[in-house]
Amino acid sequence: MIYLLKIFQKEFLIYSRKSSSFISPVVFFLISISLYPIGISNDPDILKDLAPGLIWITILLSTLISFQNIFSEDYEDGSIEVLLASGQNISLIVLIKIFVNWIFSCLPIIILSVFSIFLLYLPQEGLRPLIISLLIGTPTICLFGALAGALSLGKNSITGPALMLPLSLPVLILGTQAINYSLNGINFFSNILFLIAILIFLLPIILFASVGALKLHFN
Amino acid sequence: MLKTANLSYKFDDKYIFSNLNFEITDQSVYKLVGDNGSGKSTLLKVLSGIYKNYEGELSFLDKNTVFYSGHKTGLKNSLSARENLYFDIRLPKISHSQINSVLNQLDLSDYSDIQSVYLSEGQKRKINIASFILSSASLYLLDEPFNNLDKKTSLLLEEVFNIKINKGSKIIFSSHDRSDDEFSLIDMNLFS
Repeated sequence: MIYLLKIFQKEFLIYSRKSSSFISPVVFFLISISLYPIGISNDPDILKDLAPGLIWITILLSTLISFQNIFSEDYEDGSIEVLLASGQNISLIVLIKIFVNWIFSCLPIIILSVFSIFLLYLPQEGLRPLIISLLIGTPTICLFGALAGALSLGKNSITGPALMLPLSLPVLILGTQAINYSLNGINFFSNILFLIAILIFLLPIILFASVGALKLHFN
Repeated sequence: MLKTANLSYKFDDKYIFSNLNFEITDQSVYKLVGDNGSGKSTLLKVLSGIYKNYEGELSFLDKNTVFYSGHKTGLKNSLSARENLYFDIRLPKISHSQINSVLNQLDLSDYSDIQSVYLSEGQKRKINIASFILSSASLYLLDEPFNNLDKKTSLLLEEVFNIKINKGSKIIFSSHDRSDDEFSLIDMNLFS
């Protein structure tokens, strides 16, 4: 248990010192949602209707930037070899790495998504489903990102996103729909329950697959 | 404690090494020698459990206390020497006083709080040596540990080898140096 806590501390320290890991997604997100009113329309009625989809798509693309980093540095510096030789529970270590990646790449954007009320004229009743769906949906996207990152180690940078984006579509649809339901006065909690179910169902499967993908690079 | 029987490893249908038979039961230091590409690093990765798709038999008495140190240092550039040692997965119960002591022993005290990205290759290798000194494994697998080391640190490493085997550990390390010394030789050229 102590070694898991130390791994969490280590990952947290590494991410906190690598400012690009959390600044890049945040800057990308802020620039994108600032440009939509200029590029699409400054009509609040048009933006209001498009806001749920635009926010979710922008967050999905923002987080793509950081997924390549989950395992690539460990692969290059030899840490994965040490990890595989250590006899420790690799699945738990991978889970910690994904969790810390989520804290740094997704959590700041979720907090900043509040600004979409002002920039994209998202009605206030859409804020609650937006935050809830992002809090539950983005960990699943991080899991897909980890799997894509593990599978695409040592390959070109387009392989990861090409693997991850199709997998993320159900989460994107459910998240966007939850906000739209709320704006139309429909109960959105069925979508949230679906997102929770997807997360719980996929967590062990993707952890297992990610560890398998990491080991595959050494066989 | 460690035994191989007809151990072979192939990559893309070409055998890196084949029919390797040896048994390590005594407290000793084994030196893997051989030409480039003879399979020294590959054998260490097979023995450490990193490469699993080998042919033949490989048996351990206690697989959980294996210490592996490869060509790559495994150090995090954004962490200092002290932090890299504290968070080393091979050293779960290490204390700050033990780290300070070994950093002092390796003349790394002045660099202990500098991020590793600013250290030389030799200093990074010394941090790996510090991990080795602090570890209490029963089998050590070290890939060219003497590379990039100054004379003083090389002598210290040999001293630590003796301390470790006196405590009952076994050490297998690879080297290009075929010079006569007290280590038992495993010549990989014979199996490649």
